[in-house]
Amino acid sequence: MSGDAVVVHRRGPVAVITLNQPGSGPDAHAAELAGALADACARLADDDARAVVLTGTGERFATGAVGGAAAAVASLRVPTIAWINGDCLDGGLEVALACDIRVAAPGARLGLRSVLEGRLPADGGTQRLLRLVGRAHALRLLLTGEVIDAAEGLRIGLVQSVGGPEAADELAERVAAAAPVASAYVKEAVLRGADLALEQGLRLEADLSILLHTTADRAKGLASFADGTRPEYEGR
Amino acid sequence: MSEQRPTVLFEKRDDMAVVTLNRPDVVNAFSVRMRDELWEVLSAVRDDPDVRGMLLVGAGERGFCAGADLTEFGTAPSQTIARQVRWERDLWGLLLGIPKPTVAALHGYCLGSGLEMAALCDMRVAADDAVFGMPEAGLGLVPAAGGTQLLPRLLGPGRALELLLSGRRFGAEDALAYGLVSEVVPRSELVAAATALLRRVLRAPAAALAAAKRALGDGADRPLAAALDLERRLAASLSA
Repeated sequence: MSGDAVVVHRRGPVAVITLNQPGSGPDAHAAELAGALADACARLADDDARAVVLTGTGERFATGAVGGAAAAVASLRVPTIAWINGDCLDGGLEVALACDIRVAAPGARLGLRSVLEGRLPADGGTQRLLRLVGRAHALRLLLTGEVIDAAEGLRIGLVQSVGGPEAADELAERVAAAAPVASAYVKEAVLRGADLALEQGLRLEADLSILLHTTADRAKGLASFADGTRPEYEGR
Repeated sequence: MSEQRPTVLFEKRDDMAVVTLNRPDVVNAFSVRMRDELWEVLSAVRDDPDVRGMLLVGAGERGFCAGADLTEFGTAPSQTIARQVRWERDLWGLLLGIPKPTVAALHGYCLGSGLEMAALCDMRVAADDAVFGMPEAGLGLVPAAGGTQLLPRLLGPGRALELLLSGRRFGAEDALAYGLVSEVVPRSELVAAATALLRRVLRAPAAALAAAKRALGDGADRPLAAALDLERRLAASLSA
């Protein structure tokens, strides 16, 4: 039942996707989880959530070959935060790497072990890891299959902070308070710009900035700044 | 009254240019007039053969620059005109392209376009009272002075997205940990520390500094083989 493997609920403007991978083996029901996660992302594409938090259950974020799900997570326009509550290994880490920001619990474990088994991470793991932590750390983690803890993840830039669920919630609320079109454009400028020469990236940023002049939320944000109130953005 | 004074000061100290953002009443908020005056000053920094490096500082006690002057927003005539104006005078491209070392000395508020200007410089030194942040998305805006491009390149995409999407403010010690600044010093020692850094850099010949900037700037945009070729050509041009 895919409905059991992934549960989506709303907490105000934040959509929380809970991965509920049953079983104890490293690959336990990973394929089922992948399908359900892709379905959940497809449904969220039409949702009005302002931020998405992805998390796991118990001691596990996700482990094993969650093939294909990372691309679905990466395609979301809305900001995505992985709250890495526990083991985040192999395909599970590839899903977390597809999120915009990662927050890890102090006891979380992170690693890509597939090379040890004669396989290559194939859900974006090699490429997203390289871009996130740089060549030296990416090669070390991929070639050794080493599993690291949250503190080491923070040190090398794999996660952006270490903390409890309240840290992830606070971050999600902050992110969800921003103007949705502005957030989507920031995300687009950063992620698309990474593949461009700097001069072309600056052009993309300038064009998105000027296109944003047409939004009602921009006027609302400026008016709220002027009178010191908190803007209620509409996403248009 | 303050608008009668220049919004950007340009002073030569030996072979260094000291450029000061000078609207201290409004924490050096970046205005249309400051844009035009900075264009003139940065052109002079680039073109003056007696200037070998630049120090960028903010006037007043409260900060380096608290961001764009939002009271001027909404006065832009139209999107097409705004785009035309943006590229008629590509101020950020000018700052980025100065073939001389540039150091930003950051104190107090360093927000939005203030942080972006600092990121366009080669090196950054922070006072221990510095406060950084990118509030744009929370105001319904996106950064427009290179923040979405420079911050991922300086801090990595994970940290950059976290800061840009959350608008979270952070202090000098975090800035040091993220790699945004290379040094944190007491407020009273900021200008001396930034000057000393630039002074150390300026011991190298100007041509070597220009070549090093080009190797890193242009090299980052190329596949490794092409960047190595660029490096070889730049090295050869120095020994010629």
